[in-house]
Amino acid sequence: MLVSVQNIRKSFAVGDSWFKKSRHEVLKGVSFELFEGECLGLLGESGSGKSTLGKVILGIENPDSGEVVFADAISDLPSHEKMSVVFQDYTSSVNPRLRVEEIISEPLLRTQLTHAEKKQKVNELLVEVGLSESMKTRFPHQLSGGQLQRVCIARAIAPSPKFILLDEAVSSLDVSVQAQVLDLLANLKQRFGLSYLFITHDITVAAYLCNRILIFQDGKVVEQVDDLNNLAHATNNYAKQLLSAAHFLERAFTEPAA
Amino acid sequence: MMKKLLANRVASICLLILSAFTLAGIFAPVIAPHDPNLSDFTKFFAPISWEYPLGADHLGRCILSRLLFGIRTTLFYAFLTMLITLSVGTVIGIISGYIGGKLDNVIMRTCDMLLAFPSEVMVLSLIGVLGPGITSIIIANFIAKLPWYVRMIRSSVIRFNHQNYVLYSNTIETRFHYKLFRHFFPNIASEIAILASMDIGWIILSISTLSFLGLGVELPTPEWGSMLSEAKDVLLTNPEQMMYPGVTIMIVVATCNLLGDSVRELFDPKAQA
Ligand SMILES: Nc1ncnc2c1ncn2[C@@H]1O[C@H](COP(=O)(O)OP(=O)(O)OP(=O)(O)O)[C@@H](O)[C@H]1O
Ligand SMILES: [Mg+2]
Repeated sequence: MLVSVQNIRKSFAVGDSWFKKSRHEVLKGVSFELFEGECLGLLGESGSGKSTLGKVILGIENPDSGEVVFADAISDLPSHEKMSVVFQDYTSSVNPRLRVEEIISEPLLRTQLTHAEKKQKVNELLVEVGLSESMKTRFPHQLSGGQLQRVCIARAIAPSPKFILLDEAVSSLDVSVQAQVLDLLANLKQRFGLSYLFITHDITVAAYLCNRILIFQDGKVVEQVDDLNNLAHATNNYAKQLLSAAHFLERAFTEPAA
Repeated sequence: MMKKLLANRVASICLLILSAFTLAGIFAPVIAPHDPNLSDFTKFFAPISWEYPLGADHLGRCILSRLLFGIRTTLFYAFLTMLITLSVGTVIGIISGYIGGKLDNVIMRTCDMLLAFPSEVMVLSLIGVLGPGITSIIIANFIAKLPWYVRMIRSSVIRFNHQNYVLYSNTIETRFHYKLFRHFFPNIASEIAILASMDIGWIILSISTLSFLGLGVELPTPEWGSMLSEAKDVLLTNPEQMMYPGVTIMIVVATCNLLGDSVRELFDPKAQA
């Protein structure tokens, strides 16, 4: 076990009214475990609370109750070596006024590397994610969405964290770039023994990259699929819906129109 | 940022005028033809001449020299007020937005209270309490303007705290000063520039108005507002006396406002397509 999420609850106050204070519960007791070296998919519809759960795990949002426990091996590491994140919205994930080089070296600031070593590392990382070294002097607006998302991935892997949260990391990319980025992620995971928590609402993407999938609905984990071959036999209603939607799309594309 | 300003014609002309005034103020002792407070009884209302390029006033003092030395009071005290307000406002705004909670509430309610009075009324009543003088003017303008700056900086901090790149920095616990100097300041610099350039004209007017009313600098320190006030007494016999300080104030304030407008146009994120 690398990360253990234990019965997390989280609610937000809705409405600023003085008289009527009501709370909207977004996470209703979420528990699961993430093992070392695996990619765990968190699949759920929009608004089900996936991103909120991600923020709780990263420690930038406090849960109302429950806790996130990291394995002893990593719990004492400084946070930049422990975990990292790639957000869905790549345009606001990077400071528009910094160059690519500075963006990627932000997590290296707290390492012992010398200035030259950092530069070297940034060059390596850029090549690693399939960009050219010449891009390091560019500003974010001079990159395409796919390139920018790779910069975010490069930044995420720069300090060699044990665990990376990928919050819809490929959802806003077009299908061909999506496939490239997914391959890149699979490759990096193999080589560096990373663990991913992969948040998505796209079942095909989840099936492509993940070892296990949690199906998340309305603030709860409603089903856990350990063997992806059994995905088709999911019992939960929502999971079935997702699957049939995926099959429908697949059929529409693979069967020639009569 | 500077490059963009200089590429804009209106903005660069305004900057040129303002820097000319600033330089003239700095080098006033060198370029002024006379001591601004030296009165020559033979030169009452002297007409324009080589010796007195803009003539002399009712005490026979050189008007040009007084205007030049007036830059030092009016313009420089306005800059000073701006600088103090801006830096204190930034610090309080950052504290309020960053720490949040109860402290934020207290600061914001105080600002609301201060903002409930019109600025002019606020300045006048503060000077009533503090007594006339340039220090009171600076303090009064500072207190009247501070809440605006605190609010603006605070709202930028809060907006900024929800940006994904800040969430990323929080996740990996990047040091605070990096967030402040690499992420935050570069992104609010333009907002500060807009606010500052819009307000500087207001402060110049405020200093001049108060001196005109006799609440500002002590006589005979040269100051545009008090020059206007002195000229007012001889309005019927020598109306041109009011023109020089009046036109000077108008040029400087109009330049500041124009600069403020073009800065806003240039750096408004919405216009930055
Ligand atoms: N700071 C907040 N204040 C109030 N409500 C919030 C806040 N953040 C999220 N919510 C609410 O929590 C719910 C879950 O939001 P969340 O962003 O976690 O959804 P999601 O599963 O990530 O959706 P998507 O797939 O569209 O990204 C939504 O109904 C949202 O309105
Ligand atoms: Mg989300």
